[in-house]
Amino acid sequence: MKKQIVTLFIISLFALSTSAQTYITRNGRVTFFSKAPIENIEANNNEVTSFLDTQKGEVAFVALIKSFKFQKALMEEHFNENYMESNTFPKANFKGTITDLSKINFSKDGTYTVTVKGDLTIHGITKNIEAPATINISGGKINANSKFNIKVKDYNIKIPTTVVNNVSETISITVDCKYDPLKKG
Amino acid sequence: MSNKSVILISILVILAAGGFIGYKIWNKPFKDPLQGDAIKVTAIQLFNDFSANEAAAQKKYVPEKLGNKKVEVTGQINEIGKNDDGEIFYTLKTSDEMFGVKCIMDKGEEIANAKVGDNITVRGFCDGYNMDVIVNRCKAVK
Repeated sequence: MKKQIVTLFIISLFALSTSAQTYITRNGRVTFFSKAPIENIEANNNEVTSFLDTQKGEVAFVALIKSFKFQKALMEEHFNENYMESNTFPKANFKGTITDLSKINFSKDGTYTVTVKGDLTIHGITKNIEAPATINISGGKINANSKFNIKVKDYNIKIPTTVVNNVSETISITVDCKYDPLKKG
Repeated sequence: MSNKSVILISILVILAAGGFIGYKIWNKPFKDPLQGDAIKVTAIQLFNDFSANEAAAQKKYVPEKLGNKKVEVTGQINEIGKNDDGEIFYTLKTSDEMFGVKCIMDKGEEIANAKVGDNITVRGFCDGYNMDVIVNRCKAVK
């Protein structure tokens, strides 16, 4: 399963990298936020790799689970060892397309609201999701932002009943990527 | 002292101790990368190991429990940047033309006067391979 995903991803990267309209970031930011009665939990990952093909409208993200950083060591430990099982499932990834690509004029500065649809894989479980995204084009640079919710049970992430008041069943995910044109060699 | 008060005091002592231990666990600090042993490796070697066999490299370098393995990476700076949390990162040169070893410094840590082309050594915790090899919560080795 994991091998297949990795292989698929590599194939997709290969497909993307052959296009001249490929943009990349290695410093993409993904934040998640859990709001629960006892505590709010937030974690940031600034090491997300993402590719964007402006011609085909394809987007791909890869995030290392262990790169999500928490305020408290105990939270980071529980997140990795109990919930995400990051030794077994070290990565989360997304591969999808901008469904209304024609709305965007990549050669003109502006802000566009679009929809991104694709497969999100977390904790070894793949689900098809749809999320709103904002694309901002300014001086040849592309910024992309998105905010959406996921349900932990959709990804078979088990929250023990003892901490059910500490961890929310719905997690809010924020994506912030500043892309640069892919330079070869 | 009556039996009752002995029991009451015992309960209070146990509760206080439990609370204190709980508080300590809740607030336990992140491991300091400069304390204890670390796996010493060049950025080139670290990257090659991950690109050749990711699963084996993960076993070797990535902590399976929070902070239980550290790497001490030496390499040449290819890029210097700062993330949205204000942390400085240095991307070290590897044999790959595009990707490298990205070392994110711990909050507030920086290598004074470091510039592109300099050789540096940092210690941190390897998160894995994401096209770049990610080493987080780094501190400079003097």
